[in-house]
Amino acid sequence: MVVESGSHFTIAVRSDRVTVIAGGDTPVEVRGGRLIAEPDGRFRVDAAKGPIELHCAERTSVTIGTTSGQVECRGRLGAVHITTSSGRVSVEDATSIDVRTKSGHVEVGSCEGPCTVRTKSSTVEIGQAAELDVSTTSGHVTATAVSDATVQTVSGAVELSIRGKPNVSVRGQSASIDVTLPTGATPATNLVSNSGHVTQQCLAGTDGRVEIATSSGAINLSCR
Amino acid sequence: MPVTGTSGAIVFSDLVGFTEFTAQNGDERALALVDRQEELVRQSLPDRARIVKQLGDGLLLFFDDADHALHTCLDLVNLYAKETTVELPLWVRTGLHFGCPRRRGDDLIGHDVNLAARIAELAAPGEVLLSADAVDEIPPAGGVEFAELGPVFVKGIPDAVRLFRAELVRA
Repeated sequence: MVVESGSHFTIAVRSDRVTVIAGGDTPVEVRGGRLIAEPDGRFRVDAAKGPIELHCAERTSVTIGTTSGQVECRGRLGAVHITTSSGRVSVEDATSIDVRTKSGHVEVGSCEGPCTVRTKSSTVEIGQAAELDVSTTSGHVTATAVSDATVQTVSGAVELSIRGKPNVSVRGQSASIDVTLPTGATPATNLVSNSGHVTQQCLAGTDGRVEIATSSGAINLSCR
Repeated sequence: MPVTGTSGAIVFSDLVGFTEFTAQNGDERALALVDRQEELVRQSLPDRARIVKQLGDGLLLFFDDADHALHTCLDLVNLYAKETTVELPLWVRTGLHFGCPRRRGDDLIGHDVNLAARIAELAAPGEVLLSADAVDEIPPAGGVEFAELGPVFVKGIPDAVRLFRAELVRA
């Protein structure tokens, strides 16, 4: 079976560990499942039960659906879609990411494009992402190098470290929100907390935008 | 009571963070939030669509037509966004499925109703997610694109469900 670089793989397994390893010298290989070519040119990994390991070329796109197993994507991938209920999800490097889970831990190393995370109570740790979009009910959200970020949380804590010109929108209900900007950043700011303490330790201007609104949590906007 | 089936689009929507909002702001404001959601839905419903029932902070809707259902949901997303304030967080998530639920009086029951509810649980505030069965019922033109999220396992449903996110096409 010929599998070209940039292909798309779909993996659906009810509950077990899924590992995707991109790059390296190994040709496309599936351990724990069977590779099936679909009429639309995509590939599907068929598995009844048990852990699945997919070795593929860099920039391969994967769509993974599971319920409770750990999902790990290593190496540089293309578009990554993961939906699960619980369990740890980690993506090392991808061009775009969409992760949906209820609980557990979501970790993203680097994402070149849109990085979407939907969770109820997971802890979310983002390294670098071009366009971050996170929605959570009670999870803790941390991002260490983002410039374009939209975060919505009911009661979780949010810590964003912004790189470059900021374009940041954070909405919470009872969330504590901490945003750190690059040294000398002067974005337009709009910080609203009905009953929480609001601290702004950087000058407001017109270079970028930071909008933060929460009903009761504290807001802290500072520069490095 | 007789049970009959009718094909159509089933929509579940509910307020994200409603429990926390109520605990923090009290019952009166929670009631105002739920009332406002329902008012906006009632204003937006086309003919041949109805609110089947209220479910605490959520609503079960039924439409004869999936395309009407989708566009109503997307219009509501815009309305919720415009009305949302710190005091009135209309953070509504929406799930849509096309199927043949069983009617039990005015109520709807069955697998398709359960599936619509599970799809809604995967959506974020402001998102409309829908099943492949719903996408298949919607004509391709109409200013909407569907981003496939993949096969998804949901609680209580044995087989994986192909799930999509509806996105308005920017002019």
